[in-house]
Amino acid sequence: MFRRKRRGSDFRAEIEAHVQQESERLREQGLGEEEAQSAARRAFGNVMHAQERFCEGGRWRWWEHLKQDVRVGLRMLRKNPGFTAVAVLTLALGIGTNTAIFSVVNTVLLRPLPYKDPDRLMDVWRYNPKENVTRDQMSYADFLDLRNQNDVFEGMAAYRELHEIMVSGRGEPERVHGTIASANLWEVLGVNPLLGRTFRAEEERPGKGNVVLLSYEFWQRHFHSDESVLGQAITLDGASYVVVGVMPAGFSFPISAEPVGLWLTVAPDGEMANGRGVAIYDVITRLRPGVSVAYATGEVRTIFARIAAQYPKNHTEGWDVRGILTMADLVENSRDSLLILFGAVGMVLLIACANVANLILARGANRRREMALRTALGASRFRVVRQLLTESLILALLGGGLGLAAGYWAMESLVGIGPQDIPRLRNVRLDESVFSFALGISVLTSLLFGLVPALRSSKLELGDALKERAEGASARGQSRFRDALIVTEVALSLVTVLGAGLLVETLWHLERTHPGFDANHVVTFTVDLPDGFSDPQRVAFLKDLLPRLRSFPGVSAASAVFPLPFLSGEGVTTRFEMEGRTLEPSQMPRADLAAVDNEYFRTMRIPVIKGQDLAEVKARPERAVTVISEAFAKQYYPSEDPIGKRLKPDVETSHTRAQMAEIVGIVGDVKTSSLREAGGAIVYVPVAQFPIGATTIVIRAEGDPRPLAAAVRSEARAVDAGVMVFSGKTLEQQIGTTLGQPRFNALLLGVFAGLALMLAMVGLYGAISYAVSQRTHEIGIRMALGAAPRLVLKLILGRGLRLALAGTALGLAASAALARLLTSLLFGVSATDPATFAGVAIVLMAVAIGACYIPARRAMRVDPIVALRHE
Amino acid sequence: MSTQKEKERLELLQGTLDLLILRTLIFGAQHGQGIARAIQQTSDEELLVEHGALYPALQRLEDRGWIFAKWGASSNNRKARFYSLTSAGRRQLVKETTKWRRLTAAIGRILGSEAEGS
Repeated sequence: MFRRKRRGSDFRAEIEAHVQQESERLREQGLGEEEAQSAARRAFGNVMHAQERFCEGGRWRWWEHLKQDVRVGLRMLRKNPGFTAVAVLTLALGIGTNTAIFSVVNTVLLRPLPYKDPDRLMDVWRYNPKENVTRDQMSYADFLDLRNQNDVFEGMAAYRELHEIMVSGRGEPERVHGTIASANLWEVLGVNPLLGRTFRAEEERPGKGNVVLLSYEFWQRHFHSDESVLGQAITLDGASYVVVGVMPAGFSFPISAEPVGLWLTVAPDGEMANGRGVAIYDVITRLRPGVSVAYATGEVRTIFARIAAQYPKNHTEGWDVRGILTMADLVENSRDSLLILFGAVGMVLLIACANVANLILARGANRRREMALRTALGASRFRVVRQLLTESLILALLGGGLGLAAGYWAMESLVGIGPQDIPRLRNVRLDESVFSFALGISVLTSLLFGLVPALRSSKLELGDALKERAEGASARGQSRFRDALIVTEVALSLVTVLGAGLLVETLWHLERTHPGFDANHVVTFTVDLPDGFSDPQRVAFLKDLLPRLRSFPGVSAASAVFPLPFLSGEGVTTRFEMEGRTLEPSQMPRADLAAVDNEYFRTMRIPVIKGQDLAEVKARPERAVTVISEAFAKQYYPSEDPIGKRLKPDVETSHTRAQMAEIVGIVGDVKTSSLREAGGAIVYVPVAQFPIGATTIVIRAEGDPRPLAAAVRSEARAVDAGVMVFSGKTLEQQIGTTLGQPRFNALLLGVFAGLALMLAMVGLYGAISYAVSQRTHEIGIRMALGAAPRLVLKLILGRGLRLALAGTALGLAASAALARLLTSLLFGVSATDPATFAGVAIVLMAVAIGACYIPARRAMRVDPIVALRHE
Repeated sequence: MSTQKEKERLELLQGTLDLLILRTLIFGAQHGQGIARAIQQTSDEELLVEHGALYPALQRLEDRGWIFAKWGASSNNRKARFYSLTSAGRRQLVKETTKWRRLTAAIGRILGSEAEGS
């Protein structure tokens, strides 16, 4: 029918010609102009009708039929509001959750980085399998050698995030997140400034680095978009910097939880520039076109091996470098959990589809006569299938529309509760790709749940179908298919419930993991001392402040530490010389160094396992002391008593005077960055002996520690007017941020598993109810013949339980295969934990019994008289 | 042409229109309006061709390859679509005519005998 090329307009022209000829003839017979026209049209009959019949035979047929199908479909759906509502809501649930998770996956995992040719950006870092270091930064000197010797990169830049920089000089003083970077960073990223310029190569040299670039957002907020700020000096952490440029809106680097407000150049001096022991820089590179990641990595490894051979002191055995695309690097920690969540909502959608397919099949049984009638009146099977599929598509689109609205709401909530460490989560938007996704899965879904029912309903024996109670062979086939759907639903829901169970257990284990100190009632403050404070002045300040805080009402202990456990970022990992042993650098102990006030262990309630607490030791200038963690003792003094032995940190910066210190005590291990890790080796030195870094005050309160913030601030100011006090987070909050992802995962997978379970049980309930309604007659006969109600109950319940059992078995088998994917997210529980498997199976069966019991009871109460009269 | 007279005319039986079109075209190419006129005139104004029904029929015949159409100028120099018989159309005309004659003869016999019987 599609072969005809004749257009509708050609047909219309022919009709018009006809009418003109006819009216001319009539005029010749003596009729007036108008009379002749109308008589000619009357004689022709209905022009529209003729055209419609022309169209029927032409290519418009397809469109006409579609319109007709949609009309009929809408009428059918309107006539069955209950069915329509249930199906649309079910689909909306499935499509909505998928849309929400897709919007996150799209932004976080799929959207390219906002730089030029982001697929040529590669991160380079060091690692050392021999020392269990999976990732470490690079020293500036090593970085320079790599940059100068390679020929695989177009550019190579080093950078380091600075947590907070104090901006003053113009407007209200403010602390912003900053990054220092080598001058060519913007060349590597391929991004130009909005105003001014980026850094020049010579500004990377010591003494030349007093220039700053502002982010658009910070420029807008702090400088009210004033262009005259270019070329002016602002004060950063007390030093003067000249603003040379403003980056375009939306630019940020690196991509991290906190937006970066300003960039400084790397201007390493002295030790920082030449020392290969101070490895504090991240490295990003731009691959030359056509160079693969693998090839570039090989080249960098070769150069690095050469550097390592040249400077063996700082490059002990096992150090190597690795390269990975920046995009892959960025999402490495959140990819697994997002993909698992995506998988879970996929299962929810499949269950929703199975439910709707079941509904349609059940309804299809009632519509068999309608279908038979259509077929008898000459509708082809294709036409009937298309009619049914159109109905499915309408359902799916309605569900998709509702789902998109629900998904938008869910997406906003996701962004709200999402943990900070999922990159770019704040940028999640409802954009055209999310729309296309929602539309795409709606259409796909309609095929998924509509095709089989449509094919099945349309394949029927005319004679059978037109007869009222025929249960033909096709009906038995349908019931088998419906059973298979229910079994699949139960299996899928078991898989998601099991996954959720494992993640909830993980969270439970994490929350009960003791970090090695008592975080309750402990509040922490970061103290910024005025610039130019010498080390003795810093020590004196703490000596003044801490006793004041301790005497404060409500304070049970107060101390100072650097670095604070669970405060991300700054930590000092170094090697130690051991007195009396001459060791190769690679055999020297490697541990975290922490500078603490004497009351630290008491304040944090870290137990002293052996020897003395620092507080008990009379420290004299000529007797340096130290306390080591249990892990350090076990690792490096496996067969001797470490008390009385002496250690010296191998740190050679100009600010510290490392000396041999006597080990006076051993304290319990503490976890310092994640609850998942085992407490590592730590060497504690009194802050008076080793005043490194910024200082954090920790205070143990007797009750609620939060009201102490104001007091701490005023006490600190009283000691020195130039002091700034920040934060005031409790230690519990500090630990809580590391639980963000596990909580997010457990919460979402829990919600999705709940939905999956609910949908599967609604499906099971529906299937059993349907079976009962179909078998009312049979049950009536059985009861009339003397079957006890209990027997009927057993009959119906047995059928439901067989389905549930089959689904559970299938689900357990699938879970055993799939749970391995969760391994990287789990803690304290194995992916194939038998107790969890058994528990989930029992819960599922219990709920399934509930879902089958209600219709089974109804069957038991069937009145035989009514049932037999029923038909 | 009064409405009364129109009503008295015979409406065409389903399927007979095709036959009449083919028959009309045996005298040469003609456009739609001409075909309608010819059928009415030849039947002494007894048969009514609903002009609207004519065109789908023409379309159908064209689809089957029994007639073909070309745009041309009519006698009074108007643009019109002219239809002509194809050779398949001629064969079909013979077939249909034979069928029609047998049918009318048979019906005539039945009606004739019934008329005698009543």
